Amino acid sequence: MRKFGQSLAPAAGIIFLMWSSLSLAQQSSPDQWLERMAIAVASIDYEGTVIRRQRGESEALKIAHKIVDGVVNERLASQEGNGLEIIRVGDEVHCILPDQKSVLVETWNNQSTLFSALPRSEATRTPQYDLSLQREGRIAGRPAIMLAIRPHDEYRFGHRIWLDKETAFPLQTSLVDPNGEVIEEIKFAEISIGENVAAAALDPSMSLDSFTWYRESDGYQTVDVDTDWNCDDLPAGFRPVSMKTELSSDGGSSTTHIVYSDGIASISVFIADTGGEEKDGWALVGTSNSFTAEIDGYHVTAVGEVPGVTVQRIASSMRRQ
Amino acid sequence: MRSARKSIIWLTRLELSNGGRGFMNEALKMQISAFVDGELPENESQLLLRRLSQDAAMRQQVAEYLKLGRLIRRDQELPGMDSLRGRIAAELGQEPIEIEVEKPAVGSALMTPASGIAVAATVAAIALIGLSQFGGPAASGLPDDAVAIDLAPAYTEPTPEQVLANSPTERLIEYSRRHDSSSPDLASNGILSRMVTFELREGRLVEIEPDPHLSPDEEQETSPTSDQSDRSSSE
Repeated sequence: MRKFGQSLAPAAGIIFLMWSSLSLAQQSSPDQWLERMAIAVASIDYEGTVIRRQRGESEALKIAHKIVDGVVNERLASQEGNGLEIIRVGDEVHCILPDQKSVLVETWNNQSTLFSALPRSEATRTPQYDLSLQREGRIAGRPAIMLAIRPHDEYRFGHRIWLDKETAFPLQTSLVDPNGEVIEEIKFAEISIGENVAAAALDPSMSLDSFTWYRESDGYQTVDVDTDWNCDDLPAGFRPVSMKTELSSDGGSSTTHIVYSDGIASISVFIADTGGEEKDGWALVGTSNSFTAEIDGYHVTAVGEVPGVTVQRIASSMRRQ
Repeated sequence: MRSARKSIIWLTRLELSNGGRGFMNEALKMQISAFVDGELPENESQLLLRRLSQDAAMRQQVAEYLKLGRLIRRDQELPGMDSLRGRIAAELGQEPIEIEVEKPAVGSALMTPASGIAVAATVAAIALIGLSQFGGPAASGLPDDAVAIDLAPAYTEPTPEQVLANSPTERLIEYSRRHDSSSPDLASNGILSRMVTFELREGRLVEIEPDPHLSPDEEQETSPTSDQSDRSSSE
């Protein structure tokens, strides 16, 4: 009986989403599509192949995602390179590196590995962006509609999201720079939505008997603080949402960490003493830009998925009051 | 004959194109310049609009021209600029050109936090033409210390070479990880940065006991539903 109920739950969710799409596909507003997308990402079981492109390189990933008693069970496996597999059960994530015969256990506090960077429905209340439905097409063989989130200035990236017309599930997402260049794209080449995802699809593809397991040691402690650091020249729409002091576990160093957000993009500013190897200027970490400047005897580093000019502007204009 | 004000804009555009973002030939630059100034014949305007509708990079260039014009004029509009933007927007359908009005920075009306290229270009134009040649109400309002904008912070979009010149340090990678974990509710970074940072943390890992539930063999023997319930409840 329990199994029967469990098997009905996702099916009911799909039926609801499909039913609602019948009347909404042509007349929903962009913010309604975003809300439906958030529900779809949080509730739909899916399985498929994703192509991820970033700065001229691409990689194929197999993904299976299933909600079991409200807990996300997910497996994501790179089809290339070192064959990295990520097995998620709720917040606990096992990163399997076959070439190193290692498993790293981590806690990731978001519920979707692929879609953690998607804008939330609150984005509609962010005046720094325009949301619009652009056009219809087909992605992974399914009818889709493209939602564009365009920034008003050069200090943030835009998003293009192709949503499944039936379920509002994001079939393709692109992060776009102010010149229209795609920075990162995640696109389903094929996908099954709402069908029963077999347990085996969520398991590691190999035996882990001979693997060594690791967890990262606690590197620092976090304390909420009021900081006397302030940004003199924050781009419009950004505001501080978090201020912390992070203390290393050995008590040797502390770093002030301030997070700024405009409702869609977020930027972290780290302020530390000038010891260490940090170089001034820009650097790239994944899709994040960073800029480091020396100010009042401190290394100030801004990091975020925003254009390089934004991290430069924020890092350079941090001042101690 | 161009007015002094338009000449300033024109020189500014040339300076901009020499600053690393130029992508068009001189004839096309002149055509766009004339178009923005409202001096391009109608038939040529139609051709240019069609070309703009097919070229995002060129649209961006036009948007920057319009923004530079605003910077020079301290946000005052040229006559007819609204209708010009309307024409462009109409031609482009759903992709109107956005014109940002920047907040003036402290110290000078010209010290806006716009791109460094824009500010540098403005300085170059002022140096070439000379403040005394500014005409019209917008120019007359320039502050006496306008040349001081040389010292203004110049924010520029870095070139790929600038970005890639510094490989990320261990500290920067750690910062990126902390940023990821600090902003899950703020559209945090996605899978990519996690993969990038994953293999670079040797030395901070401690060995632990394996999780007996994570095994492909064990899962094959039980039904999918009950098996997954067991896995999730075990956490």
